[in-house]
Amino acid sequence: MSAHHLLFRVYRPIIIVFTAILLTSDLVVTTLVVVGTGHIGFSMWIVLAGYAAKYWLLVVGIMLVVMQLRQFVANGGTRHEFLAGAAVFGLIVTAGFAAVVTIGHGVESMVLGAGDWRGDGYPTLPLDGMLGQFGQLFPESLAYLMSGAMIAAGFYRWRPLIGLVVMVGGAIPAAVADGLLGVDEFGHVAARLPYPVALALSLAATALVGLALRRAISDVPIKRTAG
Amino acid sequence: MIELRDVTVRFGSTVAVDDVRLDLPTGKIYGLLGRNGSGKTSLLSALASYRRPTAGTVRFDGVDAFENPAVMRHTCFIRDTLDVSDSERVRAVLRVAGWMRPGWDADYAARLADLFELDPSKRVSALSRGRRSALGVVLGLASRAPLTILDETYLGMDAVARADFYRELLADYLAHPRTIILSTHLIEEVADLLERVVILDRGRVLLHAEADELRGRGIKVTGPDTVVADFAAGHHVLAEQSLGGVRAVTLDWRPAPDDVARGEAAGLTFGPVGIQDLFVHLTSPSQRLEALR
Amino acid sequence: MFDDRSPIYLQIADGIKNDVLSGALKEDEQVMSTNQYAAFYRINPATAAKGFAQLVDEGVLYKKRGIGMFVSPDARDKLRAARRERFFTEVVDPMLAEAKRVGIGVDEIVRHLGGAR
Repeated sequence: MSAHHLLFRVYRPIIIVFTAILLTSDLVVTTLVVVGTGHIGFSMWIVLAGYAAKYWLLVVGIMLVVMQLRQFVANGGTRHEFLAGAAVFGLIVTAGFAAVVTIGHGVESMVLGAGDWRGDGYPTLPLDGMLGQFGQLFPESLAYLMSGAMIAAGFYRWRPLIGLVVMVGGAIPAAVADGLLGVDEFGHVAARLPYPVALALSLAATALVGLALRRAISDVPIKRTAG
Repeated sequence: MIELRDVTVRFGSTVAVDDVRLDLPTGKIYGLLGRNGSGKTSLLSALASYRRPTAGTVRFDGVDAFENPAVMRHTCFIRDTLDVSDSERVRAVLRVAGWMRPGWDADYAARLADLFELDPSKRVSALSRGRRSALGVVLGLASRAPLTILDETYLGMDAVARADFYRELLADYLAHPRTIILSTHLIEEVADLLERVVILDRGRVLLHAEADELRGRGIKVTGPDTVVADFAAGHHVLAEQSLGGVRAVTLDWRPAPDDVARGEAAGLTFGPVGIQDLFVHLTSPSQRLEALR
Repeated sequence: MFDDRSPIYLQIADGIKNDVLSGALKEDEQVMSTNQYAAFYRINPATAAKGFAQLVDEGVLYKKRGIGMFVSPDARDKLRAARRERFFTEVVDPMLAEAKRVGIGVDEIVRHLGGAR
């Protein structure tokens, strides 16, 4: 079985549970606020799912290196096969999550609009704005995943002191993406630079760290750490 | 053929494996013996490509093993600590092995789990040390990997479980011949199962021989001081002790029946030296001291 | 079953020879395969194979290709002859040496043996 198949099988239950929790929390909170005050001035979905997509993917990045790499090699795979599989898995999962967050926001926006429950600050997401939001979320989530993996790789491979240094470098994609593409709960994009430039810079930072990650993992000793 | 060519594994300034050159024909059961810290696990890690040697290469049928997908797919290395997630259930661990291992036999894994009373619904973290080792045995045997390495996969197992383990290992090896490397301290228990023995001492190969040849390779001679000294002259002394006028020496020598008869006639008694004793004598510091004298 | 005094393959060979001598294994009777033998006695099959190979070399066993190994028709006679030759050097001489050590005379031994007749 290839690494991405394995990773999807391993993560499938986690993804399902995680998505269910997000959906439920969003429904409960939004309903409570709407019932209590008559309208809602922010997007609970963006608060929850938007942040979760980033931070959960950061954690996935860490787990890929700390847990799944060892599991994969211990079952007869190579590090290179794992890296290739993790790349496919990472791309699909981040794209999927960015899509789910965008679509969820769109649906939330539509439902709240239909009931006239949108408050002043609510970031309405029209249909034609969805591609734009996906375009922000996808590279940002990808950057977080990569940062998580690189930070973990630093500590997995080297002494804690070197791990700290690697951590600073590993955090760059997340920092760049946050600074250039970040969306807050009111739907505001930082937008300090034109989108194509911001996208290019973010992807470049992610790709550079990806190359470093490949170097760090391609001959890393498989540690005994329990976990 | 598995070839280790000048393999060195270093951790900072510590040399764990020192320039090891070893040819291991496939299809045999090997015993890797060595004291704690002799470099067994480091050597096995290099052999299983868990770690790239600091210098040297490991080759399988002539090709470099490190990061070679075909070689790694056929290698199963079970470490004493087990490379599974503690939070997972036994069932999930076995399922993942089934997905990944081309030779996995799920029925056999289930039978083994049953034999070792390994509850599939338990989490790995909840297993006792012995059951944890048993999980290692299940993973190692049911994978049917052409190169199976079991690194002290008996820790915490009681005598009954260990006997089951050895019986299953031999039975499965007979049904599915493959290369199996057992690293162990319990030499006496597995000696009969081994075809070859490799003894590692301070990172170097001290001995690589047919296991059966080691049986009776040494002899223990006891008798009057001077008679023993006469008899032992010219032979390598592995250990000796004396009390009063009586001396007992362990010799690295297999005397012919005539020699034994001659010795007995002169008042000597002879005793066997097992593989375990031989190992202890060959690797004990007092033996090194002896050699220096 | 096996001890540390000598390699197991020699002990296997000796055990089978004893079975042939005692008649437990008859002429042209099939012996266990090396794998059966290994599984039964919990030993490495290569060790068992070596013991059997030794017996084939010595003419105690013969191989039938694809079927297995059998006791040679003349194995028992050959083994008896060989053992008889070694009887005096390996059994009687050490006994006499021991008798001398503890002060038992040959006459006394003969008398004792006479009782066993």
